[in-house]
Amino acid sequence: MASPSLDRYDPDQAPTARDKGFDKVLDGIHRGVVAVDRFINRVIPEEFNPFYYLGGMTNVLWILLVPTGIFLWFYYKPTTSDAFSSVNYLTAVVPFGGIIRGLHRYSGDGMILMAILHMLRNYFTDRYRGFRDVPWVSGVVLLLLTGLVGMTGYLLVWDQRALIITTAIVQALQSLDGIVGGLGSFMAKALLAGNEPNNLTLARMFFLHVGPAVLIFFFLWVHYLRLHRPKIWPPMFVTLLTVGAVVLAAGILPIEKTLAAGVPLASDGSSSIVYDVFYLLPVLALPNLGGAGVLAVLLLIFGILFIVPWLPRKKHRYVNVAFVTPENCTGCQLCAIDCPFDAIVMVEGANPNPRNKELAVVNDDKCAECGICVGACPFHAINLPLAGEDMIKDKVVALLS
Amino acid sequence: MTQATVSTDKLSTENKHLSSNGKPKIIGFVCEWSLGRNDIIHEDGTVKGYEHIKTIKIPCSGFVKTEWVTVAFENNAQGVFVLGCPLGDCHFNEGNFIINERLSQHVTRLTNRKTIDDAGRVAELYLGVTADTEFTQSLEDFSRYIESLPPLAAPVKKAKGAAKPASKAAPVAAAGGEA
Repeated sequence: MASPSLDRYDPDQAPTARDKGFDKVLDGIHRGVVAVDRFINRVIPEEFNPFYYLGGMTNVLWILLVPTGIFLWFYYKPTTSDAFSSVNYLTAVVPFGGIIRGLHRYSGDGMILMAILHMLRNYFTDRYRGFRDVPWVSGVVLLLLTGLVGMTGYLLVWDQRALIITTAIVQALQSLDGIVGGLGSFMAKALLAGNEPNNLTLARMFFLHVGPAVLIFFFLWVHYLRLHRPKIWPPMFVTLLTVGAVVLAAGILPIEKTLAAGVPLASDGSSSIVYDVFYLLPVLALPNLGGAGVLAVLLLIFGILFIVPWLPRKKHRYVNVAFVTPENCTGCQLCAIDCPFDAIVMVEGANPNPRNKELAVVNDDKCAECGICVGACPFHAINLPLAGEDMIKDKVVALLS
Repeated sequence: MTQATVSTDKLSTENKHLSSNGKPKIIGFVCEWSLGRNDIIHEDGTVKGYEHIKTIKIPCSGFVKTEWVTVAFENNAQGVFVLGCPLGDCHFNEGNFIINERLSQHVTRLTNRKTIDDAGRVAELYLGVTADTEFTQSLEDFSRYIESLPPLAAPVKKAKGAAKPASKAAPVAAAGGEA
């Protein structure tokens, strides 16, 4: 599934390479993804296709989480003695409290679901490596932060489930003791603010719920750093669809009733506790894998995700980076405006012709080698080295003669 | 730009607008992330079953310089199409939107200059990598529409004081029905 254009330019590259092995599988999945798009485009107009706005839908849900979270925070008391009763109070007594808690819950679920779909789609359509390494890695960090924020969110309620999750986290951390002596116990102690859950514990959990949530904004900025005009917000139809789905879920499925952490578990009570499949999967896997096993699996998954853009596939960056002919450049900025990746900067005073103020300069690291700037330039000043405009023009003439 | 035009214009034969299979020459710019990866397009640029349609693979539909469209018409092409990914799903985020804007502007310019007689001579296709049947169907329609149009007037020589064959390029758009 390597970029076909550059395959052809690479002399070491056999022309049939992308029909073999893993590449062939990926190519098949790519075709499948496009086929699903095609089906949806038949049903609704393609500018509203939700699959083109998975990242934007994640943003909608994220923005929905912030005000609902602030509303919950007004009523929340982060102490083990009062947390459960304050959550119950806001759910049962405060007007719309239950609905807003439901919105917070289901937007969180929707957010990680959309983020994973967004990631899979970009992986399978080959939009994750090369010039997209920064968006990919920052996206993995965002996924990690979202998972952390979601998991700590379940602790804040401080019901039986929260206690089980806390025990599970402590158990997983303590399994690190075998690797570095005392490290896991130290981390568990830092997390709980003591050896046992106490009144300070939930203040730390609250920080771990809100602190990484603030970091999400920072990494979203990194996520968009290489795009000139990122699609941050989907069209109104998709926005309303997303918000409507969450409101519907919050109305139809009220948050399940749980028991306070102090209530001991019934002998068969573990089956009545509802776990969130999106955020609490590691906790669910704990009995089977053990603390160290879960940590190892998480480390493996995120480790692979972090290095995926550089996994051993053909390197074809910096092969076809656009170059500027300074003598022709008039400093008109057309290429800089049209570049979708913000790869062209206009440098003042660098133009060899003193009558022209600015010179277009290509940032090699940001260049996607797509050639949109070539189509923008009316002055023959910017070109791709492997597909220059004269080469294409000669080809047009040759094909027509 | 125009040097090539001048040189080919000397061998003026009757049917230089026709391909070897007797159909009007059509040239296409094909995005390699779209259908350009499929076997439907041969290595030499011809499309399976359409010998008169020649294609050039490009990294992105946004790469197409509108000038090349002009060059193609000046070299006896009877139709030009650009194939990109579905709108909203460009591999380079915006390439197909950008070429869409550029072409709509350029086609108006070409018709105003009387380089082409019918705006339908320039087609834009936005198809995903699996849309083989849609592609052949669109090509069939486009080819039939171009055949229904009268051949384009011979390209104007850039000679000084030469009389321009303006009458031959008069709009004859009503000639062909919608394919």
